[in-house]
Amino acid sequence: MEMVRCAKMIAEVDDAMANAEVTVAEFFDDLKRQRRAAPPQMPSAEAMIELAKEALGRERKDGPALLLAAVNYRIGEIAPDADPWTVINRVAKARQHAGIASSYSAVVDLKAEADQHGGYDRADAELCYELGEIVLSLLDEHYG
Amino acid sequence: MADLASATYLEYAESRLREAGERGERAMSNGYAHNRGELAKVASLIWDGAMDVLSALITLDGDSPSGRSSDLRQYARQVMTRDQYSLWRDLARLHNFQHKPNHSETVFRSSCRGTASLLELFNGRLPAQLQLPAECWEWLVGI
Repeated sequence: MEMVRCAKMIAEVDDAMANAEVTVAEFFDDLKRQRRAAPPQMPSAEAMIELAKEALGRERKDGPALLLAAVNYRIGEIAPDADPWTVINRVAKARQHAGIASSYSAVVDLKAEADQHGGYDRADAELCYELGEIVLSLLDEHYG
Repeated sequence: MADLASATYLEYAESRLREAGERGERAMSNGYAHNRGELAKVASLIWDGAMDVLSALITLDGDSPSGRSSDLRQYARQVMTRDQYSLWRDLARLHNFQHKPNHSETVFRSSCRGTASLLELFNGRLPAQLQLPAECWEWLVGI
């Protein structure tokens, strides 16, 4: 029984390590497969970010707000009373990498840009959507 | 042949990044707020230098770089991990800054720091004999 448990744990660690090493292209291929196999249900950050992706793809005005809401929804699940930046900075510090903070700031800025100018750059929005997905996955990895 | 073409891209990259370093440090020492126009030109040199390094990497992989920023980003997606790619926005911010130099000084400095990490990563993927000297991006950390 103990051996089975150990083997399972080793497999989980292997999966996690393999996941940590995948390229961004492989990460998104895998994400697409997972979401197709099991479409996320509302309310969830995954379902919300899918809505945001669609809205950004159609250059809808509410796309950036939906994207930020999806990321903040996950942060709210992790730490309901914490300021989102506190959570993001905690993960950045633990990973010893500023990437998650840079990505979250991209998502925040996209919404600010849309609020201020009533529109946004399509290529910028595409990048921000990807960065939003990366933020979700890094949060999940850190908080399990 | 690929080595020769890559070396040419990297010569351009080094020259652009060194020029960006000299001009950037001078402009920042005279005050960020009064030198946004000059810093926009610096940002343009950094972006072009980074794209040269990526073009060199694509060439070494046996492909022909198109020079389009979207294609270069696609290449980055193919070779970078999530942590690495999550810094792409810092480089993209400098790209935007060359057209609209309206970021705050804090955002500009933080974009420079992220871009330095990206340049170091790209450089690390090059064969040892083609790698650029660290002076090409180190100044971005302390700017």
